[in-house]
Amino acid sequence: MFQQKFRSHLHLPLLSATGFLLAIGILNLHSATLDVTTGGVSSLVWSQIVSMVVAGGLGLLVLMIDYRFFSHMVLPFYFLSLILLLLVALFGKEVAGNQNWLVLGPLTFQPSELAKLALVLILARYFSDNPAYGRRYSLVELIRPSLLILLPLGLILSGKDIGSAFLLLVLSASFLFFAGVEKRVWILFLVALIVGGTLAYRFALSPHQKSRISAFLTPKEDPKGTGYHLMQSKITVGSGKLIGRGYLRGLHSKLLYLPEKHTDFIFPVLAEEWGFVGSTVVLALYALLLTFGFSIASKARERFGLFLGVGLTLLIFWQVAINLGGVLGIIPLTGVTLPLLSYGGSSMVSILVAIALLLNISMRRFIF
Amino acid sequence: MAQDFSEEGVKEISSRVVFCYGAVFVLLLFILSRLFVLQVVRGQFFWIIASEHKFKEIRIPPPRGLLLDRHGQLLVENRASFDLILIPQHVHDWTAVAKTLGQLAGIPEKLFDEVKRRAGRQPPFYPIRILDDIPYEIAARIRVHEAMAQGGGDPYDLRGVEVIPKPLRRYPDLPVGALTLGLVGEVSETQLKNSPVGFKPGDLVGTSGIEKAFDPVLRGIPGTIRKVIDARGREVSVPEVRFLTGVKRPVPGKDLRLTLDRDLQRVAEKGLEGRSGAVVVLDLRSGEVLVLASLPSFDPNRLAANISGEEWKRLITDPRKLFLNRALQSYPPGSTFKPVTALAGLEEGEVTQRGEPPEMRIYCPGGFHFGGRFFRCWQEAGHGSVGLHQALTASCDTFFYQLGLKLGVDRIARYASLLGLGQKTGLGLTEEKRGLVPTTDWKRRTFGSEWLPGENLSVAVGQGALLVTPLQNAVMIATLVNGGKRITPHLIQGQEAIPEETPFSEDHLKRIREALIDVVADPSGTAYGSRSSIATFGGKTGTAQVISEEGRQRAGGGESLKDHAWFVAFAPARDPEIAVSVLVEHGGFGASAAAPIAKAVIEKYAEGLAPEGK
Repeated sequence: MFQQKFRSHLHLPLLSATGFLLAIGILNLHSATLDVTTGGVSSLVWSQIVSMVVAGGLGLLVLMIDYRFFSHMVLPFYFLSLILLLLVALFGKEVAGNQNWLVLGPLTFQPSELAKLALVLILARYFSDNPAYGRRYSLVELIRPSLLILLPLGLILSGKDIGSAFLLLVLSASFLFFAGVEKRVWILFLVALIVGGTLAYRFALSPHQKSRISAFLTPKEDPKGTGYHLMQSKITVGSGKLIGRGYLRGLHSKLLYLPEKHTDFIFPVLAEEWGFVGSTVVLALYALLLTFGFSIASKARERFGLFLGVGLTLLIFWQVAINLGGVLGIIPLTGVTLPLLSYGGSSMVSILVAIALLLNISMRRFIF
Repeated sequence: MAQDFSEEGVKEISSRVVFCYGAVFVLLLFILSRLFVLQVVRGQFFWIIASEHKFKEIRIPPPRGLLLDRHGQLLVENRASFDLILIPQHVHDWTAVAKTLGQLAGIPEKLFDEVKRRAGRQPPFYPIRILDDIPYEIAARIRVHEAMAQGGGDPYDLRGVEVIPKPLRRYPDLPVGALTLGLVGEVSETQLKNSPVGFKPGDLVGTSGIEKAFDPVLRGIPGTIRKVIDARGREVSVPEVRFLTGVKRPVPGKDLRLTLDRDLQRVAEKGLEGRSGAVVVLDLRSGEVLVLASLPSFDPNRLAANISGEEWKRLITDPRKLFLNRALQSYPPGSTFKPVTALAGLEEGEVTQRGEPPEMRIYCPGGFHFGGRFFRCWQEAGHGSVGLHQALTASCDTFFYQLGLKLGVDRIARYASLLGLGQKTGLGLTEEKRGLVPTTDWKRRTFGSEWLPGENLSVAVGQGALLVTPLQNAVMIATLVNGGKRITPHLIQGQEAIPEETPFSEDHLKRIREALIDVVADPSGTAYGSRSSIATFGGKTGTAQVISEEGRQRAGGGESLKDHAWFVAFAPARDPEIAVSVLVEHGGFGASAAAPIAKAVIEKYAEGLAPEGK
């Protein structure tokens, strides 16, 4: 029964786009982690493959359970993520100015990745439970969902993980606007964003984060200092030119000019070696993946599936947009990983689970 | 479970997905356009920036061609030396580099500060030499630490520091011909600007002698090593980057087989030891230069290495003029010019009265009254009755005063020119002087005054304005005794030029040669004292006044006013092979100061010709 449904209702295009991106990710990660002084496949590549297998298995598990079952689980899941965020804020391990790692024996993971999923789930549940037929949500109606958003956001900010916080913020905002809000809310939101942003820059951000923002605003003033990462990222991307230097020949990244090249800066590695042509292909694959996500959401037969589908697709989209926007110098660098391409187990699990949920929604639209 | 399957609840919202999707799509297109700008529109710009970071190009100087003597013996070779250089662009931490160089190479901070200052004044990719020719031990120490350098943790920071090999000249244990072989030095500012060859600062070029004249052949073509460096300034040399690490090997310069004879040159230099002067030996059939010696000179091995500024200053300001190649400088020829006057007299029919006897004979009372002045013969007692043969053999001035008066300067000058005087010989060394053969025309042009008849007398005996180089004198004597073929002296084997034929009568040339043989062979000859039991040779002595006798006495004598001593010779006497020209500055009499040196050279040459000497 399941087998049959699995085959006939599985959204193969989405699965293929994911598969292609994962394959490109592994090849690119090999190139990014290739040690030019010793050669050979880096252990990070193997570790990433293990992450993929684990995340894929988890995804398969998610796929087998009707997604509507998860609507019952959103509250426990949400509170679990809050507890983990609290733990990380108290005992977390600091990496590159961000205190967002939790160490559990041999495993380290980022609860913020879990929190993103939990937030999407709980918001989907909230808006599916509280329909606003034929009208838009007023400010008062948005107080409760705002609290749901601000709790994890506050905890993440206290861990100084500005990237995840920024992601949660734009994700939630776009989610609310998708759900439909009154015009007043728009205006209030913009004002709050400007005031809050200024205050945050003044008082809440660490020097590390401030320097990244000022580096974005004036990258040429100190190319070897703060603006270094952004400048090197742009040089790496730009030097790929139209067709790139060729696989494994992206020397600017190989020669350590590029920082964090296997995580946040994974895309420049690809852009340098495959040029504009290769970058466009990857961007097109993301566009396809998002297209399938939205199409699945729009075909969902009930509100929870619809909100969940849009929320998950937005989650993937914003990660792509913030990461690429950062490395290409459109927005400040915030340290958000690139879905499916960046190295990292937590990110891999959260993205593959998100995609599994999308497949799940698609698969079960026929059962009514 | 609050599931809402109502058309209303789902439709209303699902229609909004399109707007959401549209917004996402626009943002993705924005990212794509940004990629287009970075990679396509400005791609070339970033590509160039990326390239600048990664490569380090280091010039490898080529080894210069070796100089070998005619028998293949080494005259100049190369040795490996190492320069310590710094490329400012690749320095990451000046303080750490200064400290490291202090520890590893003993570079004082003051010197490093100077290097740092220089770095500020030129493009950052221009290498700066910290030290030339560093001891091998220091070179090895730096190379080893460079190779071991890993990451930022090691205590030595050598990023930006390079040890590059540079072949320097080395001369055999007893160097010869320093001035003729010449020196190598750093390319000059003007050469840097004007040369089409593409010199870079610090390149070595020949600056004098053969090194300079044949520099394009000897120089070779520099190579380059292109190294790939990573962001930490460390060199990367793995297979993955090998397609970028070009090594262009330098092309060594061509070796030159010279015509010089090292052993003969050494004998000549030994003869000149302690004096200032020059010895030239030519193969008078081919023009090959066997010896081109000049003293005093310097130890070329000291100049090829690092010498202090003080030592260099001491050398170039030495009053003995150590860097002057005297074989190519011009001097009054004195009596060595008499064969020229004699030839002119014979050819012009002034000695033989248009070919008919009786010949010109004069009576020498020890001088000649002319124009109210007494022109003194060197033999105060006089030579008595003399003809041409005796006049040459005993070097009678009185005879030549009278012959000169008959000939006039312009006719003498014609023969001097035909014998190669007053012009460059074609040797090719830039230091060569033209000398001077005066004419009436020359005097008018130079001084605006008419030639005085009395000056004919001076020129006829090799005084006056006449100036001749030892090399020219060798060509002159060679032409007189080789059957009138004016040879072009040359230093490189195989570069023989076709000699120029002269219109002289064979009979006249033979008469002069016989007379010159008797200069040595006849007891009345001026060089009889230098005759050899081993070798036969002919020649002519010369004692050239630097200043008139009266002037000299007024100045109170003094070494620097003493006459120049000359001896020009050919050997063997009957079937001559070599021409020899010896000059000893302020040596006094040619017969006593110059002739013995020629004799020693000729005897050495004869020894080489003997069967057991081969």
